Amino acid sequence: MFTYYLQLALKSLRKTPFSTALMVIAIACGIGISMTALTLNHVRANNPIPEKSAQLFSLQLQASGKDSSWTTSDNVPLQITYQDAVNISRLLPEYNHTPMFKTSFAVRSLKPSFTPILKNARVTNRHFFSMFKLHFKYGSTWSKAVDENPANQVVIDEQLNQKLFGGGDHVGEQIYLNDEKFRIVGIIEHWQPAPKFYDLNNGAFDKAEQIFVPISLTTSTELNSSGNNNSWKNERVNTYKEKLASEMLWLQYWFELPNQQAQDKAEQVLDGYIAQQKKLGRYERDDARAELQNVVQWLAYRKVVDDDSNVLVGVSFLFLSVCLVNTIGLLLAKFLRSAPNVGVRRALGASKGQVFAQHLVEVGVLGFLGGLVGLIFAQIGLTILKTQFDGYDVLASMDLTMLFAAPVIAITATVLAGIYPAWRVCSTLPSIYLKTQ
Amino acid sequence: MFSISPIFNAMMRSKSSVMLIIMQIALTLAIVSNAAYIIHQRIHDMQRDTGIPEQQVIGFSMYFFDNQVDIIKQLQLDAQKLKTLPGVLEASAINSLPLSDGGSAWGVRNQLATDGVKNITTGAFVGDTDLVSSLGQTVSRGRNFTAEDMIYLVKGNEVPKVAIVTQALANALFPAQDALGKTFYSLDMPLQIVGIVDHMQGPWVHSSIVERNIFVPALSPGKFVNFAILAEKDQVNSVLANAQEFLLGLESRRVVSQPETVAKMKANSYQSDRLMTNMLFVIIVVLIFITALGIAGMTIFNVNRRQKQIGTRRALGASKANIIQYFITESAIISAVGIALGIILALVLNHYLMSYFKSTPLAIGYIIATILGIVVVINFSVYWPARKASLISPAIATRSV
Repeated sequence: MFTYYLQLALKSLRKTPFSTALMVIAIACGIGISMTALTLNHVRANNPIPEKSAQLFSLQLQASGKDSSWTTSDNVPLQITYQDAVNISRLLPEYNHTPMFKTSFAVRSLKPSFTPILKNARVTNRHFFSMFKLHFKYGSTWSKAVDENPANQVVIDEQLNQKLFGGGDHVGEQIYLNDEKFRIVGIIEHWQPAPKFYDLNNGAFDKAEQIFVPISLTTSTELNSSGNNNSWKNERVNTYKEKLASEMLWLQYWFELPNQQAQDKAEQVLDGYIAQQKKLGRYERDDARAELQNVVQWLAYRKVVDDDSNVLVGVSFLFLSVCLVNTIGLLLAKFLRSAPNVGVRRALGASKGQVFAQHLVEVGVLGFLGGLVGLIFAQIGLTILKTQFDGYDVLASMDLTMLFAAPVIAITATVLAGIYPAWRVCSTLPSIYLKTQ
Repeated sequence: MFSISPIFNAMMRSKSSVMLIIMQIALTLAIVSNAAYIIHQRIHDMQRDTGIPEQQVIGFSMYFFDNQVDIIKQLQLDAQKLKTLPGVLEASAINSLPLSDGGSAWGVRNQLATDGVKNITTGAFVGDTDLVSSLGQTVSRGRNFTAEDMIYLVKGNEVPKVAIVTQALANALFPAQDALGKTFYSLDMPLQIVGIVDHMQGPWVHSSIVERNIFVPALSPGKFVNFAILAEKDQVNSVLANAQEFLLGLESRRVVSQPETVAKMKANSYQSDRLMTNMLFVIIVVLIFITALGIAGMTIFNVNRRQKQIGTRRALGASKANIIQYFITESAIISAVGIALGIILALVLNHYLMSYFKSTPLAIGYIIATILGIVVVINFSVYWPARKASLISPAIATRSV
């Protein structure tokens, strides 16, 4: 039956090429634009680490000045001080957690002919790799001893490995970071979480770092953050030592807390830490507290899906609705014109349901064609975005979900739109049309 | 020679298709007026006067990776040597570049006493003696920095004593007073205003403090430094092409980034706004196109369906103009209802958008302009099928099907 309806549908669509083309174009434009907007939104709303997003927690401390105000919705600063980072990293040894910040290095191989390249690096402890699920191609992270007693060891990403050495296993070899030699202990597979959830400060879709060095080096090598540095206190910070002891906020901090028990324990220990710092007189706010948020909560809190992107989706779906209203109008006109034929079919014994099904199949074919052309429109739109705007490579790419979603949305929307015209035509009385002719 | 009632009666015979066109017109009006308004706001922001000769100011960063380099000495030498390059008017080391979306902000206050203090956040440009002119600025009142003003933050015990401010910051710190010569504070450090720049936008284009900026004459030996060059208009490209290599020739123990004009940085900073305006613009154009085609399609359908009636009217003496008038009147009635509904929808949609953007309410001008546009488009798309209808021969009435 379905194939017969399909044949009827194709025949009917071919009979009115102008209105068929009009309907397909209308649906395709609606789908094309709304899918482009939805893709941008979908990538922003992506969960970058679904297996662990409920176990990784970012830490914030409400530890700034009495009258400090921050741009966050709960007025808690996004980053923490070096002092707090060091103190907290000594707590809770049973769980993995790490302070971190971004810095820059001029990187070169030992070959004198190699032109140095400026690269971002992540300063962190050895837990970073297991916490955020980075995979080692060669070697591994630095040892526990290095987290306590600094050594010039480095983990690099395979792309950088390619640039420095042309690929291959180079664990144990040395490279220059600035003017110091570092020994490579591990080479990771390329890693690019989108959004870059562990540090959203300088763009949620920035490139992940390709160099990782132990945070224990901070004091000896005087590493500075090349991300955000925020100050609230009236204090002079002239030397590096003063910076480390200051209330300047420049580090991020993440916990891995595998279960509820761990989360309760962490909260309890952090509360104890806050109370202690309050007692010491360092935390002056009455609402001093620690805030832990898992990846999903963190991304929502940081508004990675920004207002523009939401508004675009809203407007583009309104646009799709206009395209569908347009299609309903044209379908209604077309179906009612074929009402005399329907009358004959009904008189010859076709049931209401059969006529309805036949017309819905026709609508479905339209939706499918519109969805397909719409998907092409969307791909063209996304390609234009990628070429016209820097940094939209990640954002403007359809994943499998989107590729499947587009035609499904198109067909569903069109069939829903087609229900009314199909119902109208199947509920016509056969007698009227039999009489006039 | 026409009356509305027969047209109205005919319309009531196909209520659903009339309703659909009304809905389409209403939604189109709501979307187009709001989208046009958002586009206007973004373009307005992008086209604000930045006070900077964007095409002529070139910026880049450098990173000294060797501790042996005397960074301050090198920065001074760089500026001095760069000025010998053809096309370079001014050059200065600087902490951050305007319109680049990255920089440093200082908290400043008009007095040390807490009573009546004004705490203000401002963009801060810290650099060599020529930093103001390297950004293409002129000191409109007071004086520019001199070599005596320069502070070198090497030992950490010297602090800058003077600053130049933009007029917007001067107004914020000392409203209704002449700020020139006055002293303000950053932390407890007093800074005397020696000069005023009329107007220059700072690092963050989306910030409310974009017009508030200070210039401070100080150099520090940080590894990471920016550089600003003011180039002659017709030699910008050659400076862009040569600066990197030239500087590495002077000192190779550093990484120098590819120079860019401030215009390019500005374009990057406004990228999300351009995306928004482009997408909304496409939506508006396609929407109008689809609505026009839809209305034309429906009119063609009506014309075909009423061929016999039209023929009969023509046979009974109606002129061609009468027939055209009939369809135009019909569409006018439908449009009027659609537009009335669309105004309400536009305001509702605007209400939702305002909760997102905290923007001002939709200006009535946008609704009116959109209505005019829609009326033109509707008439245009109705006229052609209506004209076709008017050409239907009266003889058709006499034919039986």
